[in-house]
Amino acid sequence: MTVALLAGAPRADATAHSSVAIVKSSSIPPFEQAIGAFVSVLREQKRQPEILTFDLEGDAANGPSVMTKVKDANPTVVVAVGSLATAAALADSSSLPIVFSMVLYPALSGFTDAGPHPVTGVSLDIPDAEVFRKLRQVLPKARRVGVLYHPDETGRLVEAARKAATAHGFEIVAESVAEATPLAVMDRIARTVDVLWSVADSHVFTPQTTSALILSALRHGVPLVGLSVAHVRAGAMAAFFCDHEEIGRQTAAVTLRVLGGDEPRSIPVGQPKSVRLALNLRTVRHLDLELSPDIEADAAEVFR
Amino acid sequence: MSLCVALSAEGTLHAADPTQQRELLLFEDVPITAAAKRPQKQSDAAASVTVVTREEIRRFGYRTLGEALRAQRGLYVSYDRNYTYLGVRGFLRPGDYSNRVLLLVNGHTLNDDIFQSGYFGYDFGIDIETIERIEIIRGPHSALYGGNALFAVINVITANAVSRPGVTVAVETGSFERKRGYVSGGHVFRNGLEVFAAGSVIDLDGHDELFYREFASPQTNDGVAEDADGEKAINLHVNARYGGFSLQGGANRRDKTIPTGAYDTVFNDRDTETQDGRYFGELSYTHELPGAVTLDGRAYYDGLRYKGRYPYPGEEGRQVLSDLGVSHWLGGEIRGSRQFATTHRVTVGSEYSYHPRAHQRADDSDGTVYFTDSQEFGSWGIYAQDEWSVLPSLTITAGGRFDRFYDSDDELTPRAGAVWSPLERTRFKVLYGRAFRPPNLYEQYYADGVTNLPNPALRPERITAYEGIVEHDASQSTQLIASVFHYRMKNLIEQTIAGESDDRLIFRNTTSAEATGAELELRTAIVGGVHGRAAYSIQDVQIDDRWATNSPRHLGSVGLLFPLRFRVEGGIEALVLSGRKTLAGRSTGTQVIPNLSLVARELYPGLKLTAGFYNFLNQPYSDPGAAEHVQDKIQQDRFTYLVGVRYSF
Repeated sequence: MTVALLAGAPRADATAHSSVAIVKSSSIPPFEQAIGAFVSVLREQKRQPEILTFDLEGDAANGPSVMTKVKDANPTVVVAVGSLATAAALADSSSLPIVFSMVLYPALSGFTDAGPHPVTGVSLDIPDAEVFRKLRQVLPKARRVGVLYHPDETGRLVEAARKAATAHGFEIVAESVAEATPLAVMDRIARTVDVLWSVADSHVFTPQTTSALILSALRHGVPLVGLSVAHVRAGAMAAFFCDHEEIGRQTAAVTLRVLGGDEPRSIPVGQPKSVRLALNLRTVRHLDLELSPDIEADAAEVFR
Repeated sequence: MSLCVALSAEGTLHAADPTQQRELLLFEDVPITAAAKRPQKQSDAAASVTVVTREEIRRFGYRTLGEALRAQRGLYVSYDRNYTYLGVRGFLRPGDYSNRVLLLVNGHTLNDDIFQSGYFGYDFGIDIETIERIEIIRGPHSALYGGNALFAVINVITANAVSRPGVTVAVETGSFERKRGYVSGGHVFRNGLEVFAAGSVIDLDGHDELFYREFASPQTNDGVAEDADGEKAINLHVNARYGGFSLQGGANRRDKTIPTGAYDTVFNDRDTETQDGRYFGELSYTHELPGAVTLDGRAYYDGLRYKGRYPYPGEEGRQVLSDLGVSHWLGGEIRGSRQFATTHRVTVGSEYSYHPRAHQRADDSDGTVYFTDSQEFGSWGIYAQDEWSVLPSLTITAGGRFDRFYDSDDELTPRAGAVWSPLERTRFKVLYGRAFRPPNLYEQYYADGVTNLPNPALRPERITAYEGIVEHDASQSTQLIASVFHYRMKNLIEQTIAGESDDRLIFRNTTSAEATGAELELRTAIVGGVHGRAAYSIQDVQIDDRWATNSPRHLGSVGLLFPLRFRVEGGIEALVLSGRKTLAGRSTGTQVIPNLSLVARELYPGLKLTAGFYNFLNQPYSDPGAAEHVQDKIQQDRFTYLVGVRYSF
């Protein structure tokens, strides 16, 4: 466990002292990017809050002891980066306000349910409407959208996405991996849909299955919208992703509102304001797809 | 086998509650292979791994596999105007056949069964254009792969119909009347069948004149070898996949004229040449079973055809000695891998190969047979490995392999490693391994009575190696690697002069070799699309307590990939080798070899122009000669260039 004290410049008004405890799940680069941007915004403030940083080092078992240290520091607000840190903060018995950040599917994880903690945050969830709007731009003629999922993990998510899909002229064809391996399900579904959409389900995407699923989609000749730029680099046709520093800045804006007196529960959970597109043009050529020139021009990451 | 490389940030999923770290799926890498014979992240592999990507191969303008490897940490090459030999961590003996490195193509062994050679020049058999990436796994790996994996396993992954769809054609010209043509085609059919094929031809006239002062006399054309450096090669590679079945195969032939007068041949005689050819076919099948069980099986058939023509000044006039090495063999491997209780990943496997007739022969143009030998043998191995996740941050790998080679000789090789990640971005690896190399058939039996004597009593070489590695991801795009290593070899097989009054060559087990060294490497993305890498290694290799020949104490390389304007991208690198000791005890001197490559992309859709400028400062440099050379040092090419056009559709 590590504790780092980051003191701001001398404060103009010592009586308006506030402090922010950043509790990070680990120090992986995406979290650090978001935290870096978060801290930069706070340091631009006229009244800079004190910033303390705590690290769970990727181990949930560190949660209780870290939160004890957090409570001892008596922060004004806890900023939890990542699901591990958010869960640890919510499990704590205190009623410290919590702003979570860099979390995927917070509602599914129960992070937004009413509890002792006033909680809000900024998630990594790209709105379903945005996903299918962009998908319609990339693939104007597609209709059937396949998705692999496990009912226990992302079943609710898939069901909730149907409405947004329908609004953009898509039909979701969801196949569960509860009774068969992801590759077997992929073999079953791939030929019956126009595009495959990925949800972050750990029953579907594992170190052993991820590259195989991407290759399987290619072999079946069906475009796959992956989870990340890494997936696109590995052969997925496209992915929608957000900028981690932007998430950090959005989190800072929410945190400043809480520090300013806003009740966290009154602040809706934020989602990424800008959604970017990654494209693999080799895959596009392989699939014999015609993309609008605007799509390629607007893509933030292009792999040739 | 296929391998994918981890290129972006790490993430660690705890198995306890999948909801707790779901966002990490967005940050996960897409995995790699050969270190454990299964897909795993490069950072998790209990090995020192480097992956050379297709992008690097193209943008640095590498012409051969050897050029791509010599720019990597701890590796270097020697070229004797016939073959390119690979040195690893300061070890490359004159007269070696690069048989202490195991060379694979998509997991299939390319080392042959007579010379156990790895091929790193135009004799490799796979055109550089067909290579998708190169995996370098340093250290002894006989515990998984059997013999010859002493210093490294090099796994070359080729393109396939998925990674390289459509048709690609390329033509090149350049120094030495270079002519190269390449074509490939890949297609995925509606039923899921994938087919890829690639072929190339290369024709180099070589130097018009090569001067060797050792032959500077009127009887030997005043030391000038004229038009005696030509090289031609033709390569074919195919692969296909359907469901869990994969098929791959290849065939190649490479002809090289030898200008050095090696093996006491007639100097400046254009009939001095070698022809090398390899062919292989492999069918494999992978099946995933419930319970995280993976089964792999493969069957293969391989062949070698080597021919050498060596003109000698016979008593009754010039005679041409013909060497022949012809063999074919078949074999198979089955392997199973299973995850137990989330903490153990166990891999077991067995391999067998049958060599019905590994044949060597030497005769002359009069029909006199000086030597003929055929060997029939089988070799098999059985191996097992366990990767145990002791803690979320600590994984211990242990394994071993038992081999019976040549039907009668046994070797047991263990391997162990620990990968500890106390910090998210830092990994410590401690590695131990033993490996062996059986004496090859050439070393044991070749005896033409003119230049070579046999030694069937040769014993296998054995190596024990220890290594400590630190890997640190300073940022998403910056990685630092530092390692220290120590290895000891016993029963080193070397080509020596038979005796004071007998200058014929014989292979013997010399006493021992020992080396200690350290390596540093930095790979980073700099601003504006610039990527850089730098590597440095220092090693002290002692053979019989003396500094080894052809062993640089210092190796360094620096490379930059950078964008220019007008869709042009550049790659520049500099390779530095400190002086190497020759057989005569002299030094080759420090060498700095700078290369520049330019690529103009998409001037027209699918069209790319390339230009390469090698040793662009025109520096003279040499590699140490071997016992078969009169020359103590073999001069290398100074400035050379190439230009090419590549079109894909």
